[in-house]
Amino acid sequence: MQTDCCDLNSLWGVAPITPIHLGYDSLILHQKGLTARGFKHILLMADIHAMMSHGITWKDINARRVYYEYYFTQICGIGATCVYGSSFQTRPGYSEDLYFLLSQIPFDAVRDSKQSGDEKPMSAWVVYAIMQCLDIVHIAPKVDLIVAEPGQKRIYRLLEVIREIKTIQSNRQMIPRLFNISSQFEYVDYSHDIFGQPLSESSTHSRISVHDAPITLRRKIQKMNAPEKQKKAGGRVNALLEHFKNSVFPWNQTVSVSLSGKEKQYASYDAFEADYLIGAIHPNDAREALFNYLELRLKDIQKSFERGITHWIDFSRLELPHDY
Amino acid sequence: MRGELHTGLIFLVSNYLMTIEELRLHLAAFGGSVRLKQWPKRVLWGVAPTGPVHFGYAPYLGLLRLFAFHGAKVILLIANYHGFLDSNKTPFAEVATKTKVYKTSFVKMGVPEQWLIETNEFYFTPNYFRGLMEFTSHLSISDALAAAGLTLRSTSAERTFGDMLYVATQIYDVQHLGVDCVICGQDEAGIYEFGLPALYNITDAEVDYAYLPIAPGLESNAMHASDASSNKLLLEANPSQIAFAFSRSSNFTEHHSKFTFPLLNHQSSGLSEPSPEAIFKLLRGQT
Repeated sequence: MQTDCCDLNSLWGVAPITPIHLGYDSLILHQKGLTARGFKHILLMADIHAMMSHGITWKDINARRVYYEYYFTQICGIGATCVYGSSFQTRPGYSEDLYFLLSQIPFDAVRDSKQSGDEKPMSAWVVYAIMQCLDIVHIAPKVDLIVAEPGQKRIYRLLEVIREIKTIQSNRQMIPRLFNISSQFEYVDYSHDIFGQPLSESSTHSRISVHDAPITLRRKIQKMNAPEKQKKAGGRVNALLEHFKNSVFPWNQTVSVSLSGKEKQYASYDAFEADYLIGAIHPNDAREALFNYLELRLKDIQKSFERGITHWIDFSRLELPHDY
Repeated sequence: MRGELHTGLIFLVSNYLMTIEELRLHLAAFGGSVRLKQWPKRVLWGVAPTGPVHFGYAPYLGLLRLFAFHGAKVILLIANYHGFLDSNKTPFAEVATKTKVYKTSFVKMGVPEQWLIETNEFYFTPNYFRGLMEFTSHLSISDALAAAGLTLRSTSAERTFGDMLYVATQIYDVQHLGVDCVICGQDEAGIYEFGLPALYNITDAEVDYAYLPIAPGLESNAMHASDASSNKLLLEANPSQIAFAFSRSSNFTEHHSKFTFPLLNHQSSGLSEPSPEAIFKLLRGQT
């Protein structure tokens, strides 16, 4: 284990909104890697952000954040300190900084930071983005590394925009630490959905939820984009391979695949991938192995959840429609 | 014996007490907009401390006293944070000073101290912040700015997200403070005209309103805190200053005689042609 970063803080923020799916696996693995390197990692449960972006009531947010915290820290074992956004975002100093920043930022300055296609953005959008930047200086004395998915770049770009606004520069005493942020950013892609498309284009039915029943899991794996001998085809990634890479190998010491009735053990994903790309592993054999490993993993996860933590989830909505 | 309502002019006689129906007609007769289903239980009037407390506030004091007489809990909100947010035209330190001046002035005018609340007292509390953030998810930026209309002083080129926050807070204050009626000037009604239906969509709570006609200045058709002193009469003016002002402008005199004094003197005392000394007392609730 490397321990070269023992004085450094890292941060990942997540808004607890939907039932958790395996698309988070790449980010989870990245964060486990950071803690293994010695980072003091902070897991920010952006509860107020979730409320703002999805209009979820405070009562429902509370249930979701407990569920997210439990999954990431207890089930997945990310060695992080979990901080609820509301625990520091509702402090007077934070709201004062936020009100001040909002009062200084001209509309034109952040026009490029909004989501494309959003022709009538809600006020929450800009408050959300500014808060995400402000979080960096309020959550800890110093954040050295910020982990985020690439879609967050448009928000963190605001930091530069904010610091260039003259009225904010002339009021540096208001939020001095805003000008001293030296955080590095590591942008980590989410995994893709079962069709090999970005998660931002996915739906409940095209992601593997950690709550999927075996029958749903099997149907999703059957539908998985898995071009033979290829990592990518037609602009879509091979979802079957990616799920082995992020959701199977890191969670098992060895992986066994039945090839024409004969078991073969793989100690690494690279070896598995190499066999797949030369055609030694047929997609159908890989599908069967993937189902076996994910079924076990999901079963363990589902056993770990206390019923009270998941009471807010409508499990019927996770089931695949018959005609899907 | 009841007063008689006639073309917006109320003849004040002993033992007169304005009814809610008469109040509706009175406000409407002078160009105000009103929806008062019943006497409010909790009423809000907010004022940003950007200039001196002037005579244009007199009808608001009268209306608040009338509501209080009928049992309402009155919130006179010194919107000091709004003074700062309105395009930063007023620096925060100055707003803080003016807040003290406003509170002192209102207390001198007989306003009970328990009516007075500053936005700073609750804008930074966890409950308010969380509620406001939740409300922003229901408020589009373009709707917020359209609602701001004439209220905010910034030009479109100067607009910042502070303007959006100004609108969002003014609307959310209604929900946070749990009022069932708001009052403001007709020229500032745009935010509530948009905001009260928006709140109703979220909370199912219907909030009544009274948007008062714009009070004339001594030289122009309106008196604003930011106007030159020649257009203003301070609310704390002494009888001789009041006499001088009322001798200068017939428009000013007629408006306050017919519109404001009946509100201030909603109970009785027969002040159809009040003297400067009587006006001085009336403003202080000393009828």
